[in-house]
Amino acid sequence: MQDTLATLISALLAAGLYATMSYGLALIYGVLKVINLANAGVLMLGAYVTWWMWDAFHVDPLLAPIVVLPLFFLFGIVLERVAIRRVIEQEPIVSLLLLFGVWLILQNVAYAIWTGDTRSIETPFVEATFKLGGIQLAWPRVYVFVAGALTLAVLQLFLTKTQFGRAIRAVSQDREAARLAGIDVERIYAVAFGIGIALSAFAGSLLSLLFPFGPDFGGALQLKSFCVVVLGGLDSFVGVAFGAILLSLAEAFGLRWMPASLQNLISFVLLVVVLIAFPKGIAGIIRSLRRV
Amino acid sequence: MRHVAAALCAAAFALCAVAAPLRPTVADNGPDQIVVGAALPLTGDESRIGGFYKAAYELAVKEINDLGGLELRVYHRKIPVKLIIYDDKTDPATSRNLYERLAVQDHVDAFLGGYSTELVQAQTVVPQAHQIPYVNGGGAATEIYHRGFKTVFGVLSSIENLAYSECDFIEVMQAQGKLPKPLKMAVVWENTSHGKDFVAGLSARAKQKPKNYKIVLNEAFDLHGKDFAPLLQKVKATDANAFMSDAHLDDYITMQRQYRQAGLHHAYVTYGARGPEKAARDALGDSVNYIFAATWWNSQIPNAAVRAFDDKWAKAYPKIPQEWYAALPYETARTLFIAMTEAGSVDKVKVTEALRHIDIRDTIIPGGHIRFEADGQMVAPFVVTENLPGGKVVIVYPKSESTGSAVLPVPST
Repeated sequence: MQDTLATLISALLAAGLYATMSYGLALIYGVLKVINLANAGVLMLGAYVTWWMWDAFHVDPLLAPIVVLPLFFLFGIVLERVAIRRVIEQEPIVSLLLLFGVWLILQNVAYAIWTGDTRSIETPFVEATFKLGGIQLAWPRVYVFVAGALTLAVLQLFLTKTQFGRAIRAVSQDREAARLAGIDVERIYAVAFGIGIALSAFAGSLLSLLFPFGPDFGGALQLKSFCVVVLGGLDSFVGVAFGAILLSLAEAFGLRWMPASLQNLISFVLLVVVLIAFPKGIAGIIRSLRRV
Repeated sequence: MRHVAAALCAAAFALCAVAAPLRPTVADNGPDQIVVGAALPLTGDESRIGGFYKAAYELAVKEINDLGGLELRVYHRKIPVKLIIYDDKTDPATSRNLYERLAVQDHVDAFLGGYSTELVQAQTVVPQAHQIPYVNGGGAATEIYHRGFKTVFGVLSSIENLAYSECDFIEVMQAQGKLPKPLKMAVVWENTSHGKDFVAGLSARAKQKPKNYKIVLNEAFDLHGKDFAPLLQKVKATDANAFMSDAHLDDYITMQRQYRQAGLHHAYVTYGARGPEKAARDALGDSVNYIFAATWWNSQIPNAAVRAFDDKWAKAYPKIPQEWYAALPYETARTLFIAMTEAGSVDKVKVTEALRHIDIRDTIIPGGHIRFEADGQMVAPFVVTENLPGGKVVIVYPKSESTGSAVLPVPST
């Protein structure tokens, strides 16, 4: 019983991590219909900026998002204006290749600045643990979970309760209708891309509390993010959160009986099954149930 | 007149024909330079270690060239060495292609090997195909050498031997009452031939000495993993008193951090060949204390050749620490150059033959002796080290090389 509870809690904490990594990807796809292959590069840069602030200026990594979020929001806006806007109306493969190129550039910039050495943030908080009903939990994992849940709440509030959020949703549902309604679609694209990039960098900042990293950081996690986003539905944050929970539960309980080396197999089998059986993901299932 | 010219031409040809043997031919004089090539992981997951290999190869080549080159008796002169290094980006396919390029376009006389088992495994098909001598100090898995490749040689003793060395040490500690008997081992290993050798070594010893060992968990994990929490949860569910992991540097750093976060504690903790690296200490601080490792080299080995190498390295690269990633490739290059000198030429068959029979006694590796087995791999002792507080690393085994006593069982902090 204790083992099952420990596995359940571990899965929920991992779900927080997976969801946080995936919100940026889902927002950018939802609004711009662009798959952000540079997501891994942004995760990595978010981790580096957090580490650099801690290493060079002794800034507590928990405070790093104060800098990371606006910095990467601006980076996202510039990237959208300079590159994405030029290819958004073209075949999806063009934006895919463009963002893949951006990822490679970011990786090489990181190599040039920080070399390939493995970096890691070491503070008392990073190693702090506590016991809950006899189960040992790491504070950083709990922190990442809480940050993921708060991000979901803030995003939902922003999208449903603010004028700008409603405009973003309008563009994501039908860009031409939104344009006819007087919404500045190009501005929405830029801001949504900026927010998506900022969310990914925020996730990178959080991940730096959990994992050592180098310029190649993020590639394996990006695959998980794709799984989560496809499981959840490509344009729904609540769906993403459920997708993250489903994936982490499948991994955690699957690995109780399977070798750990098959962790990725579980993710991708789940991905294939969902794509075949429920191509619109959990969000699609929820929408169908509501209609019924 | 035309007849006179024809006669003069004929005479000139005849003179050339007679004079030719008196003048050394290009072949007799030997090449202008000896070309040696390698592909190293200078970017990608293994880039940090690739940097060590590049620095070590360059140091070994510089030493030779500072003396005028390699003395090859067939050509009666010294010939400088040209080193070509490419970046394989830690990608096995790229690595293999680059070795192909070194063979076909750069016409290398010999290869130096890359780093990490999976890359070495991929690249060694090229020296075999082109019959070019190849020496590496970065691939230890036995699978590399069990393919019948005749031109492939490796100065890293096998991972199975690494496991045996740790077991030898553990048995000494058990005899002293510092470790329980049997030692219940949770064995987790990277899913590569490197990891398979590690678990094969431990399993063989456990089978041979059931009173000393019991394997309570035997589980593989993916190389360059990110989240080991589910695996560590399995470890936690066992009653193991030893955590025996075989991991590469980045996985060691990630796993050890998560090991601590999971609140795990064992009487004995090892990550195979990884443990004392400065990068791990920089990344994890005191979390690396009391970790044991069996490595192919350590800068503290009490030996004059090692001290000389330490000084040489510190002078050449004051910012790069003396780790085994530096010493082994240096010795790899030196082994190739000694073989070329003994062969007396750059003839690939002769150099391969010289490598097969090489017997070097004054090396910097533990035991000091380099000699290849019939399969091309070397058998040499390992040194077992333990990380101690304050950034200290001591050699705890074998006794002849030890610089301190083991702190065992690992204290709970």
